[in-house]
Amino acid sequence: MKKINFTYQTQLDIGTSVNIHCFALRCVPTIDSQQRISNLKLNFVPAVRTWTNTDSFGNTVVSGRYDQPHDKFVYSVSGTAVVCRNNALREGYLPCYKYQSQMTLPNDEMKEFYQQEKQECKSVSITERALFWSQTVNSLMSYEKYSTNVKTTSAIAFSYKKGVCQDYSHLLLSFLRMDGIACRYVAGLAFCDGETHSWVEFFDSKWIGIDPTNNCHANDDYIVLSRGRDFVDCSIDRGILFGVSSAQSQVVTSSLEEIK
Amino acid sequence: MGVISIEHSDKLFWLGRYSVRVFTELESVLKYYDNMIDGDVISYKEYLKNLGLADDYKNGQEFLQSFLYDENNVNSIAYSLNRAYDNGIVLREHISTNALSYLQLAIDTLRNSKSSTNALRYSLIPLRDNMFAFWGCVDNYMISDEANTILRLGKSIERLDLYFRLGYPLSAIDAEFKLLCSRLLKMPRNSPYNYNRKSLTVLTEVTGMENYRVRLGEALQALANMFTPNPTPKPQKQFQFQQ
Amino acid sequence: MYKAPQITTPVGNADEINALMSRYGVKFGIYKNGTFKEQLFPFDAIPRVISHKDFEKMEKGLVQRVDALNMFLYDIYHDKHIIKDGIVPEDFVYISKGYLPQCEGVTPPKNIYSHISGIDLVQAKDGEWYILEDNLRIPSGASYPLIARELSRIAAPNVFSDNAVVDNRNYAIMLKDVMDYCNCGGVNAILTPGRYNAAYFEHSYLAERTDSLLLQSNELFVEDNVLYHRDYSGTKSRVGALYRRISDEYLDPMTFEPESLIGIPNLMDVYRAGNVAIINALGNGVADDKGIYYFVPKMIKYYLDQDPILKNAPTYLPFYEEDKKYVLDNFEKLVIKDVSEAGGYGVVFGSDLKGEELEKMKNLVKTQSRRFIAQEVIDFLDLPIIEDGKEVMRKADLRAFVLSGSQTKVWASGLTRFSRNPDSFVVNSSQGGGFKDTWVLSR
Repeated sequence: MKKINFTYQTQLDIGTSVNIHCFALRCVPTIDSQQRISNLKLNFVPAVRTWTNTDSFGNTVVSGRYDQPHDKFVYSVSGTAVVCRNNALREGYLPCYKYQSQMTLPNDEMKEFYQQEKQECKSVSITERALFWSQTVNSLMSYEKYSTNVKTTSAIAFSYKKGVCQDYSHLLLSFLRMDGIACRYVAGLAFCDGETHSWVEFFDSKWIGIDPTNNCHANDDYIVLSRGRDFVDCSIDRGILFGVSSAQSQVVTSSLEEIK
Repeated sequence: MGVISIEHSDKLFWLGRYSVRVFTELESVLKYYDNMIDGDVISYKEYLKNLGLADDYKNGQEFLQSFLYDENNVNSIAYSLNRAYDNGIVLREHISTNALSYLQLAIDTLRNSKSSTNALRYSLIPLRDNMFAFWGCVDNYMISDEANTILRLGKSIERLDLYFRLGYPLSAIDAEFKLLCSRLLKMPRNSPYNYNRKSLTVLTEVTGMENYRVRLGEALQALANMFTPNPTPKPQKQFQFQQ
Repeated sequence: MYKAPQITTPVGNADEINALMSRYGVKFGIYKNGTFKEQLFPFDAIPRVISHKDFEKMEKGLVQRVDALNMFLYDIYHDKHIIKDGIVPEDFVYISKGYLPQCEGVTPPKNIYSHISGIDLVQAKDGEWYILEDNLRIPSGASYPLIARELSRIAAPNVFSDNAVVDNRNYAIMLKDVMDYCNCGGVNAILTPGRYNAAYFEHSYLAERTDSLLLQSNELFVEDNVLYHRDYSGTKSRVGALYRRISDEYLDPMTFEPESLIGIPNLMDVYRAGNVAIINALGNGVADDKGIYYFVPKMIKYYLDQDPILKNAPTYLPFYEEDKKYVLDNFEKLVIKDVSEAGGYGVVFGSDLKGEELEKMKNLVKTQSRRFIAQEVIDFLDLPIIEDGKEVMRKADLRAFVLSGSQTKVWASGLTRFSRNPDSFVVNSSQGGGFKDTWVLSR
């Protein structure tokens, strides 16, 4: 069990003025049997009216609409998380996690690769197989920032053989699903490189977190923000701007601090 | 239906303008045609001059063909009628299918008139009939007072604009201006039809002058600036960033 | 041999009625070489006639079918009993493009998913009606027979005095009843992608007849889980029922296709909170998938414990080994349909394929068996139409409209589409077909 203070902030510079801005944010850590959240603070500049829902994957979604001209938008979330991955997490299973999704659909090369590699894994245990595929993805790929983008599917990442945590996760999802293992994408915060992180959970009578980028179990150092079939279901921010043409840039900062 | 969206208020306004434009242009073009019957074959040049248009026409016949039927000539009746229809088609549930059908009939009549063997003005009588029927139909079916006022606001603005340009008598202009004022006063303050005080002052002065044409440019400018445009923002870009 | 009740003479003069249609703007838009053109939907004046007895049976069968489909949709997005009990293999549900996991656990107002169902049927030469396809997303076309009847009654009143034809002009009232029944507080609105949509006539005509607002997405917005419309003077009013004519994937860019500019951001929030009825509900595509079609008779048995009244066209799923073998052995007498295509596309007659093409198609069925279904070609009962002044026989189908509100009701009419090409079985309007009025006799 770990107690962690976390902060996460996104600053969006919109350039020229935007009149209407709609958004849906998955930036509030989930509350479940492995994760408790206290002192939660959510702040917006400019101040904006928001409302909160839980989506079909169990994520907290903060939606809002700001209809005054603005050229900057900042939101931040902070709080204290008590994480205990030793507790079993069983809720939130959906049958669709067994099937490939938009971002994980394998191409022929991946299918061929899968057929070859699976010979190497004799185990029938779901967990052992999942670890095997994590190891496979980890040695197949090399980590390189900015080599891919939000639209990169696992098939594209597979052809590049490089990418970021999102691509590692998508590839692992593809292979696990080819192997008949139900699994989901996780977006969150972790003590590692990058402001946000992503990893995978697979279902072996309970959810088990695995991080293919670092080829390790997702332990108490990981805070979950959202879960879904792939990145598309989990994007921390999704928004649409109405107004004159706009140049955008985004700065994300986050920090984690363990409380002993 | 009582509730009017911004989009529909805009269409109502322009439906008013274009339907009046069709009617007033028709009246005017046929007046010059009538002059031409008695041998004043270049009478039409005055119409072009009043509207500030270049005279690229060989003769009165060519002028008539273009200003009645040429759908690509933005000053033709055919063009105005098509634009009236374009605005009308998205207002079906406000103005009724019946009213819309008269605009369709007007378009068909004008097209048929082009190849008609009948005398020109005779073949165009049903066009006038259809426009009258259209207005009557709108009046009969459109229960929303607000929608009616927006449509009539468009009609008034357009009439004044054309009356000014085409040199209509002051009495006609003055009467239309009074109608415009009463319609402007009915518009809600937060609507896109909140009037510009300065424009209204200029028009009040000009419509009191027998020789209003000396301030013609100013009057037209005032009409054009009667409302501050307030377009609905269109979506531009979505954002989504890599984690 | 089955003898269909038939009117063999045109009702009124087709030219007269087509002229009236043009007058009333009964058009549909198409894009040709990049420009938008509106054209008339060709109307044939000989109506299709359905006997009172046939309609009674059809009505019972359609109500049963649509009720089962609605129960299936609820089940799929909630407890999934039908999968757990092994009636429908889960592959068919979760691979379907129409299944939307974003709708898991969401319950639409009054539990109704398919408010307006367009069920396509054909009548075989022996008089039996077969279901060809269910359309539970945005079935269109009801406005055409609706206005055609209005105009036929103007042009040829005598025919209606001489025949006992059920009046079909109650469609708008039926539709309005459905909208009012599901309305969660606020006005009824129809959401259109705009004037340049092929079915714009229908959107605006139904808005007029149901006294609904006709809106585009930029006139609507979401705040605090409520859908609002803002009028020209800045006043906002609540929308309680939204008959949307925009498909699921474009409806909310915050949940689905992020690049959609014709959707309403965060509409899904309102729907999830139960503050708006979306007509038809999101995610219905999973039930009208051509692969799921095969299982509808089983659904009727499973949910209602009844025998299906209307038959499916005999269908094979190459997904099952036994069926695959049959399909490959009998390829030339079957029609093969790609389950992911709509609008008459992706339909191939085995008998039309030769040599390399045939092998290629067979191979596709072998390797991507989940993608296809195969059906026996039904010997359609052809209908007479007038072409260049002469009567000719053409293939035709019938789209029946079933409306689900406080009760499930079948509209006593429907859209009869016919193929203008004598060799074609494809009757879709987007492929140049025409339409007829559909009469249901009252005795």
